[in-house]
Amino acid sequence: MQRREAIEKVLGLLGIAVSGSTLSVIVSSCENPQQGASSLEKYHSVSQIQAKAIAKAADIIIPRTSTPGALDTDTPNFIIMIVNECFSPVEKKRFYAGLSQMNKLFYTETGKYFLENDNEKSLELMLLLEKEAKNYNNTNEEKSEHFFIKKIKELTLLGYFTSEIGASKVLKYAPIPGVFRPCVKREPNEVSYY
Amino acid sequence: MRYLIINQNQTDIYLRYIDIQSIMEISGQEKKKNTYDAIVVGSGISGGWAAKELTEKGLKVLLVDRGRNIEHVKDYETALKHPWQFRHRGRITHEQRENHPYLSRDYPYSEENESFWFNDADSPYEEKKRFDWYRPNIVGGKSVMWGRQSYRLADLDFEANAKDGIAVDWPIRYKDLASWYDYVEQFAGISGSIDNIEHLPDGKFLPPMKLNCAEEYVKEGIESRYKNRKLLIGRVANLSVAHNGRGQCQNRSLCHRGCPFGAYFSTLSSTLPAAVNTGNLTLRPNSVVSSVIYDEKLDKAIGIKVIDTISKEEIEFYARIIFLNASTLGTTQILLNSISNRFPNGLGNSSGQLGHNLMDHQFRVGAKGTVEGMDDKYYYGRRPTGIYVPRFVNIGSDKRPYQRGFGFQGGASRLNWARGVAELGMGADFKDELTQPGPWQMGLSGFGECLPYYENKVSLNKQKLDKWGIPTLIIDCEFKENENMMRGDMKNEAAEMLEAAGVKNVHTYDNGSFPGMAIHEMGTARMGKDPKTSVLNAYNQMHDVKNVFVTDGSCMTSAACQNPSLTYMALTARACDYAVKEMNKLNL
Repeated sequence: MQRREAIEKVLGLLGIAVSGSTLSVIVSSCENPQQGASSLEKYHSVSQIQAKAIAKAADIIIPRTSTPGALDTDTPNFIIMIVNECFSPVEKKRFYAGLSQMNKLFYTETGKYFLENDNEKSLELMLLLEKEAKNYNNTNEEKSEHFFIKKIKELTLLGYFTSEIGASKVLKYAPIPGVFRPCVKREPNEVSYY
Repeated sequence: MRYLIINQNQTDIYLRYIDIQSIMEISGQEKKKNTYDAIVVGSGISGGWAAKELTEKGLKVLLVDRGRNIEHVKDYETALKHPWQFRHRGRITHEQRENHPYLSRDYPYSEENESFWFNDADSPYEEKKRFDWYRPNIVGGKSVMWGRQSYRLADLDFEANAKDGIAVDWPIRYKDLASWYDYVEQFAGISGSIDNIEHLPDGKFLPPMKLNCAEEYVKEGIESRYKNRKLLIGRVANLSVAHNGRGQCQNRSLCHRGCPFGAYFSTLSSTLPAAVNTGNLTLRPNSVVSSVIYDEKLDKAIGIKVIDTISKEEIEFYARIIFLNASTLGTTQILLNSISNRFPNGLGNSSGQLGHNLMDHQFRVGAKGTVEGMDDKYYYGRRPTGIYVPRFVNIGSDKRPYQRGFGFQGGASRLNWARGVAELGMGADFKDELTQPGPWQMGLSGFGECLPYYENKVSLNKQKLDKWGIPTLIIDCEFKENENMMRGDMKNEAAEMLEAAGVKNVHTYDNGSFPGMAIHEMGTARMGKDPKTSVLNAYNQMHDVKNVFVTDGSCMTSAACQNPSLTYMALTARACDYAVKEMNKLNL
């Protein structure tokens, strides 16, 4: 059953909705998730597991502390929407392929998939992946997991800091400043204006 | 707003507003009702000025624009939206990118003012080399989304072609335009400082915006180390105080969405209301002009052919004088498509210069770094301008291996949360850090002059028609050796000056610059003294067709390095004055 759940997670991250009967076929016939990847483009909707993974990643990037976090601002749904509506089909495919690839890296590294790791371990590995993405020098082809980690971070920051809570409760927001004061004293730890 | 908007299904209203007494006698009732004293094509920065000046001088004016009508304040639909009220938080969608293959290559086309822009797919153009053509699709044109930087040209610029032996000489000098700069500045409202720089003349300014602490520090550093270099607050068409019934700038810096306070100059906030107040204006939106009608017997233009962009009906309008203000390439496209036996290669094109000498500014190159020791300093409000460093190269004893020069724009600010995208980091501490203002960053970004090259040109593609059956443009334009040499210098000088001024962690950048990107395209119907080598005379009047005036960017004989819109305003007001005097003398 553990193996079944694991496969479900892999397939879910590949964007494949799995029914019990197809799962058994796949479990018995397919040890290679690459076969699933080729049929990814047929699936436009995001699986529940993909959505969970995106929410978890956003939560790790901007966690709830003494102030609200990404999960308090509907950022996961924002990310899914932006990928759907603003990314090209190629970018969208690469984004979800990258998620799936990151999931595999987690398994290789820890023996557990992304969603099974605790947030502390997940943060550590996501930071490593981000660093690797930044230092990766092959300009010909960006690895999909590098694309994913860059985009999920960018979209998490965008979604969070431009949300009503992020912009006006976490940061200070002056929609109509009225005046411009060119040089004012800043108190220690005073948060910035949106 | 009280002005009359006509569409073909509103002719009953429209007829009531026409002052029959003022209509020229051209035979036929149909012609009569479509006849005005003057027609202005295009309602952007220069067209708005033409409409204002001509109506105030008593002419009945038809102002046409290809764009849809939008009304000042009422139709600035996004102006008061909060960031979170934009579904895509400013980004454009994949579908919008597909429909706007040229516009979507750079930031001005965004979700925040998406509906102001033209649908590229309706009139695609061919690029021999990459050219970014920013076309608006609203009454008011790009005056609604412009950058508002407003600088005078000087004799350094007007004499440059003659001194360098490049292209042709400007037919005017600064003294011809100075009082017209005064005139347009006083109406438009330009804030700026008085700096006594000969090659960047002072104007009739409203009080200047203010430099922030880091900019003051860099100004001090630059000016103490370089004798002939200055750092000024940007001169900008934003109102530092209430002016001519328009509100003071509220420091939102959301001008590109349209300003509900009318606090920056645009056709909609300024010149159109003035034209409307005369009772002499008729505005016809949704009207793309296909050509100017030339009468061989009269040897003058008698009107324009308009295609209603919605019904696709073709309609003719007539007038004694015609002002073309359809934007540099828009005007050129109309003239190239105005064919007659006398002008087989485009109206007023006996010189063969029409469509040639296309210029833009080169930019997106410079340097930035951090200003340290000011962690306890901040600012309040979002000032709608940056700083300006006037040109200092190839002036006096300064000699460079290339011709002309550049100015710097830029400024200092504390980095915001978005710095986190490029920084490594995630998690609780990272989040807390991003909620604090980041380091002070100071940047200088060059705006460089591009020379007029005959071979940088646009031509008509008669095989490929747009949605309205009008031949599309082929654009063939590139920056060349002189621009590339200057570009390297722009980068180096920016870095050197910042370092000299005490800025730390200075690094240079060159993001690449393609013609068109600066949205300062100009030069394709240039002014000049000689009808054999230029299209327009010293009053922006066509050498060949005396009752046609062109006062948008296409008239420019050289590009200078200053943002050009203020010069278009001054040239337009001057040309209108001249045109009406000529009409009164019965020369037109």
